[in-house]
Amino acid sequence: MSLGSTLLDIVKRNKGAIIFFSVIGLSIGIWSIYVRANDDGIIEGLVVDQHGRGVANAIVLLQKKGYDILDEPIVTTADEYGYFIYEDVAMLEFVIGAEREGYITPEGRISYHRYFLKHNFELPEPLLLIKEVAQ
Amino acid sequence: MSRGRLKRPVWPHLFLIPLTLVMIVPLYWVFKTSLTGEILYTYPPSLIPKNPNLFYYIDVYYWIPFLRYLWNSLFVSAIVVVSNIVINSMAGFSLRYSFPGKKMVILIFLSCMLIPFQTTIIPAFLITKQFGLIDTHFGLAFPLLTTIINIFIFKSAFDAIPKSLSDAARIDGMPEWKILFRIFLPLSKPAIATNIILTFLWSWNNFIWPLVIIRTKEMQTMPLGLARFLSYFEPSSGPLYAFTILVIVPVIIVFLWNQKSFISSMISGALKG
Repeated sequence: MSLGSTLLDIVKRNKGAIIFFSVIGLSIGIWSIYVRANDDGIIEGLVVDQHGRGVANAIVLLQKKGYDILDEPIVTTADEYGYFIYEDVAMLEFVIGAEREGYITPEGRISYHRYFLKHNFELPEPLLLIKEVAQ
Repeated sequence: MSRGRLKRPVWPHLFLIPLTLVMIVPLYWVFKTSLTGEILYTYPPSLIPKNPNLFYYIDVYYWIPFLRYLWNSLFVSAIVVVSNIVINSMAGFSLRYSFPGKKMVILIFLSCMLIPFQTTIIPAFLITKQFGLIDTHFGLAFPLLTTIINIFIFKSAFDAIPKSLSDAARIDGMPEWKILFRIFLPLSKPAIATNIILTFLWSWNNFIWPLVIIRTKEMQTMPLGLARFLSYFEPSSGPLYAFTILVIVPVIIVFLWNQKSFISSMISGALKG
C-alpha cells in the first residue's frame, strides 16, 4: 500500500475530526490576523451636544474598570470638532465620560468592553454633553 | 408498516424528552450565564439570553493563566490515557492466561477497588515524593497510570476474542507483545474507547491529588484553577460560568469522539451472561 493511499484512508476514516480541527485552526488563524491588524490600543470617539454638534475642548476621562477598583483616569482634550483619540491604551474594560464647563453630562460615564487589551475601538455612540441654560 | 422497517413506539419519548430537558437545562443555564452574566436570582428568569457576548470568556483569558491550566490538564490527561491503554491492556491480556495464583491476583485487584483513594493518599504522596515527582506532570498522573476497573474492561473484551486467533498467530511465530498490539487491541476498540473516556474524565476532574502535590501556580490544573478563580472572583458569575464551560468542553469533545464505541462497549458488557 502506497503512502498516498494510506494517507487517503486515514483522512477518510477521520473526516469528522479533521473538519473539526480544521475549523478550529482556521478560526484561530483568522482571529490572529485580526488581532495583529487591530492592536494599536486606539480608543477614539466624538463628544457632541444635544444638537449633535461637536463640543470643542471637552475634557475626556478614560478609566480602567475592574470588579472592585477604578484606577486613576487618563485625561485628554477633544479637538475643535469634538473628536478625541487615545493611543496605546491597554485595558480590557473601561469607563469613559466627557465634561466641560457650562455643560452637564446626562449619561455620566459609559462602560465599554474590548475584545483584547489593545483592541482598536471606536465608541459606537458619541459622548453627550448638554449645555446648561443660564438661570 | 413498510417492509423491513420496524415501527418504533412513541410513548417512551413522552418520558425521555422531559427527562432530557431536565438534564440539559442546568448545563444550558451555565452556558447562558457565561454569555450574559445574569446572576441566578435575576427576576423574571428568561430562557433566552439577553445581549449575549463573549466578554466573560475574554475576562477568563486575561485574569488567570488559562492556557497554562489547559496545557497542564491536557498533558496530564494524555499521559494517563496512554499509560492506561498500554498497561491495562497488557494486564488484561495476561489475565487471559492460566497461571498459578491467578485467582489471588484477581482477588487482590477486586479488593483494591474497594479502598477509596482518600485513604491511600498519604502513602501515595510519600511514594511520589520518593520518586521526586512532587509538583510535576508525571507526579500528577502517577496514581492514575493504571486503573483496575479498566483492566477488567480489557480482560472481558479480550475474553470475547476467539482463542484460535492468538493460537494461529503464535504458530506463525508472532511474539506475545505483537499478538496483543497487532491482533487483540485492534479488535477491542470499544474497550479502548471506554478506557479513553473514563481515564480522561478521572484525570480531568481530579481535584484532591493535584491539591496535595502541586505547590506552584504554574503547575495547577483546570479544577484547581476553577477553585482559585472562585475564591478570587466570587461575586462575578459571568466569568466564573465562562470558565466552567471551558473546563467541561474538552470532556464533552472526548466523549462525543468515542461515544459510539463507548456505548457499544456498555451494551456488549450488559449482554454478556
